[in-house]
Amino acid sequence: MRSRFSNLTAQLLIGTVMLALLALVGRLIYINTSDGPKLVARAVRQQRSIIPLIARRGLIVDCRGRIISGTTLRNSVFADPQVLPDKAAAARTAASILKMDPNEIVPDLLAAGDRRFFVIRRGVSDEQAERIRRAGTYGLGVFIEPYRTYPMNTLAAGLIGFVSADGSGVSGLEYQCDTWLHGENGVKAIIRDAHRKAFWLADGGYRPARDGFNVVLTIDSEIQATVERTLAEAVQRFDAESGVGVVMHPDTGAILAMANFPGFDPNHYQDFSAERYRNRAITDPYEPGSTFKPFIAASALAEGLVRLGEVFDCEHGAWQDGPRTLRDSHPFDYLTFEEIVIRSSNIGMGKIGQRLGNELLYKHVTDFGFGRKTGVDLLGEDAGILRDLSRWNSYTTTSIPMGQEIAVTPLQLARAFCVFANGGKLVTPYVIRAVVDARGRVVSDQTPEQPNKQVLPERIVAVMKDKVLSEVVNQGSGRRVRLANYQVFGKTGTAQVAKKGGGGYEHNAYVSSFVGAAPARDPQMVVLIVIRKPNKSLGYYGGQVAGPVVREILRHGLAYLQVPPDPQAPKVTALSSGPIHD
Amino acid sequence: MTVPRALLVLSMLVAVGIAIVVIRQKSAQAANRIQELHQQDIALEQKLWTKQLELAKLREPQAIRRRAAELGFEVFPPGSTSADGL
Repeated sequence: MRSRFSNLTAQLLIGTVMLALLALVGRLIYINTSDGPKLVARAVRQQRSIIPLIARRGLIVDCRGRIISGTTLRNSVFADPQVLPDKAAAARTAASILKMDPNEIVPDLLAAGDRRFFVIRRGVSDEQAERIRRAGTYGLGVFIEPYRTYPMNTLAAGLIGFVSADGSGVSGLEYQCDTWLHGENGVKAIIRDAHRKAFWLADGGYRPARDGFNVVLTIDSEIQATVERTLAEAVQRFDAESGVGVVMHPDTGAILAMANFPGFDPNHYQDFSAERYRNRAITDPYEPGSTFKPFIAASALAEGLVRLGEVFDCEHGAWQDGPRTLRDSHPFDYLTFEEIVIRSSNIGMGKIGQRLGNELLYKHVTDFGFGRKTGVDLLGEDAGILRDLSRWNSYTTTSIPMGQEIAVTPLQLARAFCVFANGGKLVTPYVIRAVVDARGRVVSDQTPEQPNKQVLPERIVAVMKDKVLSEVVNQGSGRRVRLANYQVFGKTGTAQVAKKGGGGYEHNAYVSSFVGAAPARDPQMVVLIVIRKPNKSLGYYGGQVAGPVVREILRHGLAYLQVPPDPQAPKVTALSSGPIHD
Repeated sequence: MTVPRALLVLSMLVAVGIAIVVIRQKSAQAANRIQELHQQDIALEQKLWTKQLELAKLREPQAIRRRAAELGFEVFPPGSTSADGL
């Protein structure tokens, strides 16, 4: 009896529990079938949040890893005009915290229309952002956005370029390398609880951000800064229109510096005219003047048409060659081949040009890379101006050797001069060294394969470097470039500025330049400085205006690169204050 | 089925139910902690970006030169000698 009672009780108990469970299941089935889709949708809206994961745009760094262009985050204040209970009050709140005039905000808020997102101020301080949050005004908030910054300000601005408001490159390397630099935003979908705390990752809801790749340049910020500083000082001292500087390593073609003055600050690019954005080292060809003479002189020597020590009649400064009169800035009577370059005689070079003739002149000029692009890895390069051989005449024969009737970009000239510094080879210049990922692993090695083209025989290069171009610096027009511990070799240039549209040259307008390299026994730097239209009353000769700039760049750069001093450098006791002619 | 057995079965069912709830609660806590850590990771990475750029500003050659000038020094590259200042 008792056991039957126990069984019944147990069965009743289990039966009750089973019924309860069945009722629950039934209720679940009913909810799922009748209101299921609606409830699921509401749950997703309430619980699920999509959070974007911001990818960082890649850095642009110099050859030593110093950041020239980078991305950081900033706080910005926004308003949702549709939900603001009182636009005027919200504007006053924001204005008082952000130290703005409310009248700057209210009209735009009122005119916002259907917009749900209106930016009031970008880049506010952390303290202001916190105060906006604590103000608790519904519809007024703070968001974090990435923005591009250039911590070195104007450094290499013409080369680096800048980005637009949406973070895409629009100029310079920022534009050219945009595909590498541009990262991919990720996304995270999360489930929130009733307190809006994230507690679960939604199914399939995580895609990590991929940061952009970093671009490593051959530019050295220290050398770049030196070039920019000394170039700016010279342009200002001589009241010139502008200046360009290029520094290259002659063996590898790596560009260590590429400067333009005046430049601009990419952090505030809108404050500058578009003229300033140009990288004139590759976009603006000019007549090189006397800096072109070494190329022709070396070519004549290589062809065996002249020899060291050969004497030329320089006609006492005025030479009637057919209908044309060639003049020297200083009257010379008889000069040796070397002295023609050292003292920069136009008449002497004209006679050397006649020995070469147009065909050989053209061949050698093109061998040095003039008349075509250098192949540098930068957009917008100009090929310079070199007329086709069929259009050359007897004027050309005596003009080209003194650097007229031809226009070259500063990079073309610097690159060609590398031939005298590396044993006779024409290198391909480059600026982008490599592309690396965020961990420093190389994604793409951009070092170009250098063509092994011998433009001049090594013995000719050695003679030009040691017997001619070194003497330009030791005793010629380049005396102001002499360094105490290094033998510098190079050539000055004082070229007239051609009139736009042709028809001769501008009056009293010159381009003062110097191209050189050091140390002579193992050159590590080729430097070209071009200063356009200095004030003639203050000075205009290349050795006077551009020479000291090159000297300072070499002095600083060689010490910075820890190049051992040259024990055979000539003793320099004092700077000559004598006349510097080109 | 006796009453004790039924009670035992019920107790086991309840225990399993409680275990499920506890495990889900722990799991949710762990997921929440992962989210927090992930957010911290992102925040730290973004702080790193800011610090990198602050460092970049300090390494700017012109800024170093200006700061040295303020302190009455002149910046010379390593290896410079007095003979260079000719």
